[in-house]
Amino acid sequence: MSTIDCHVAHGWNAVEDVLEHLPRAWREYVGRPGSLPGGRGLRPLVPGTPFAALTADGRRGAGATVTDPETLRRDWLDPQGIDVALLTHGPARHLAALVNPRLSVALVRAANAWTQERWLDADPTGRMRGVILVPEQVPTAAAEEIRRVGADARMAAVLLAGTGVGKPYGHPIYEPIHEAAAEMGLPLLIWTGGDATQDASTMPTAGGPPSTHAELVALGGQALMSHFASLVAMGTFEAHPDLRVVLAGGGMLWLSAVLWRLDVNHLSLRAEVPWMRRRPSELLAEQVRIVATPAGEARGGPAVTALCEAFGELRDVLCFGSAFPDADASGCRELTDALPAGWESAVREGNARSALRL
Amino acid sequence: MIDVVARDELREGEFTVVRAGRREVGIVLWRGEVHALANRCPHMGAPVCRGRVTPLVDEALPRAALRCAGDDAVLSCPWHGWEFRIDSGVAVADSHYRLRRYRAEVRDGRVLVELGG
Repeated sequence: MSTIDCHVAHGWNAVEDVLEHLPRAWREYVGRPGSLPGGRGLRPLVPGTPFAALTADGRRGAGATVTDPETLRRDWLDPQGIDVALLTHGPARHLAALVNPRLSVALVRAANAWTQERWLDADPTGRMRGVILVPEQVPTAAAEEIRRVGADARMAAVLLAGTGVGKPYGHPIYEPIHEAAAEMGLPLLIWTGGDATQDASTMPTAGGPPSTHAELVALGGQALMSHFASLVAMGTFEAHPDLRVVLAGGGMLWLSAVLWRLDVNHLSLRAEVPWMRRRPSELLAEQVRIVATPAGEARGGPAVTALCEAFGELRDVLCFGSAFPDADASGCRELTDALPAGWESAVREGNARSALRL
Repeated sequence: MIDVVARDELREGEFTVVRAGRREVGIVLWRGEVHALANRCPHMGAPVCRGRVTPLVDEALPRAALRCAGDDAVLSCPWHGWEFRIDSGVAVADSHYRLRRYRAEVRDGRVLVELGG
């Protein structure tokens, strides 16, 4: 049985690997480590979260990443029998949320070029696929980047993770991005967590920012609820019936609350949003996917079982994501063992293959 | 048929709720015709005829703006906003739902309603 892993966090050994893809003027602006006394000289580039993993130097950053293709193949793809791995970035996911939008444009272009050269070009087996980082704060530039990098058939999705303009992803300001992605046959891969960075203009949780990692872990799905409801209410799915949206970073248990509320109130909302023609549950299997990780969902126990029984549509929605190289990354079997019988093939491969551009 | 209200008491586009037997019925004059609809929303049983009669709204451009769709009007339930076409009782957002309609006629200045079975 084939397996598609929708969540492999790839990163760099040294940020210079990405910076070499910047135009010279921007490269001069961002500087070089060691070009000033005391080892200084590089501007802080990657927004960090206040709840990052333990690091070697105490600096804020993001979770663990795998930093070369050979290690990924040897340590994960081959032993796990992964046929396709989606390279979903580590810290670079948050480049779109940089305070300086012009710098953000330059850096995401550089990061895309780095992924193509350092990873995809170095993968003779063709098992790795990239996601396109876009400068969300400048939607016209983002659309341009989608069309430019989207011409590379090895790019499987457009990543939205920064929420740089402080609006959920169905907002009309993002329509150039929706249009470009739909035109290129690329799904939107919406990743929660980018709004937890210091630079972000949005909060990762409703009611105020969390103070502890414990809160963020528990509430990681909230942003996905906002984005999903926004896409539905703004008619994004109706405007682009071929567009797929993949929601990641917050597990799957958040879905029931927002889906139920939207479905139940669907007929009441027509006068305000007449473009919301279908009940959200009707468009789920056609246009929505959710990345579920074994670490998150496999331990959900009765809650996961109950959700799957109440929303059988999830069988055609869930996609496996390992979160490699996180310490608790696991193979697909640990996830599918926690789901109803008969779901494995869809979760392991089918749902991802029908959404990603592979 | 049950005599429920004087024709002259009706205002165009405004529902008058009357009791006919054991039922509440909303009577409305619309485009010169009298319509009778059950005063009970199929959603959650709200007194739907206490709601507003509003123009039917749809989208002017795809997702861009709202506009009034010609001369059509709907009854909007006061509890949750479900909309029903006045001339048919059919719910706008989902034609599987409808308000029960009764036959109504005007005779000698009085509105009569047939409740049926």
